Amino acid sequence: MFELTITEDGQIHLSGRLDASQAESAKKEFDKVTLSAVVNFKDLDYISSAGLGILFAAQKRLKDAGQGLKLINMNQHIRDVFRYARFDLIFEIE
Amino acid sequence: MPSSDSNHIEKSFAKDFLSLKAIFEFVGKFSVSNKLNDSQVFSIKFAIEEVFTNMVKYNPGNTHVTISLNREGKKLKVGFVDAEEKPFDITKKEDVNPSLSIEKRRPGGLGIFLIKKLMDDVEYAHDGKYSRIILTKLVE
Repeated sequence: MFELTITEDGQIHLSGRLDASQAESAKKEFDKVTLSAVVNFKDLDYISSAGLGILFAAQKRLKDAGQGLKLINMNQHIRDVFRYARFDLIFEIE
Repeated sequence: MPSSDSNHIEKSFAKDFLSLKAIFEFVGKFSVSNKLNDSQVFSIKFAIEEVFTNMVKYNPGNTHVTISLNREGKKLKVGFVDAEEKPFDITKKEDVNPSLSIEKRRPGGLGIFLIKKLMDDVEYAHDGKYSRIILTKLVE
């Protein structure tokens, strides 16, 4: 199960598991993002390359428009995957 | 037919992204009985998803993939058997360059690259009819 919600303060809150079976619905939600935003990973347990691809595409589109995503509260396993993929060069990660 | 004991489990899964839920439950059951830690389980699930979804996307010709998990002492081996006439050796896939800037990076290839980072060995064999992939993770 994967859920993406927008909190009252405008953060994009991810929860559950972002795998290939959830990628299409996640992509539709990220396609709606047009301005800089904070993505909160606090309740995201898992992400695969399908999810990484969605975040990468969103960041690339936003960067072209002078905007960007900031990623916060990743668990250690997800943080390791982002580090191996060198997504720390692409995103601001806190 | 699925087969299992505490050190070996095997099952066929329909070639559909929706099989991932059942695959993760399959891994979870084995992980508990083999006392794998969270980091090991994350890596194994990640690697299995990447191989399985590649088979779904790029070899849709047959209906099922057989996945096995086998504990051999300090080695955890994940096996995949997929009927495939034309071989695609994932060990020969050129690594992506993760140091490129966002402007120069392209989608594709990241999953296989990350499998190599998260697992300790990747083997591929093709016998003319089946592709067989074995991923090894050192678990102690």
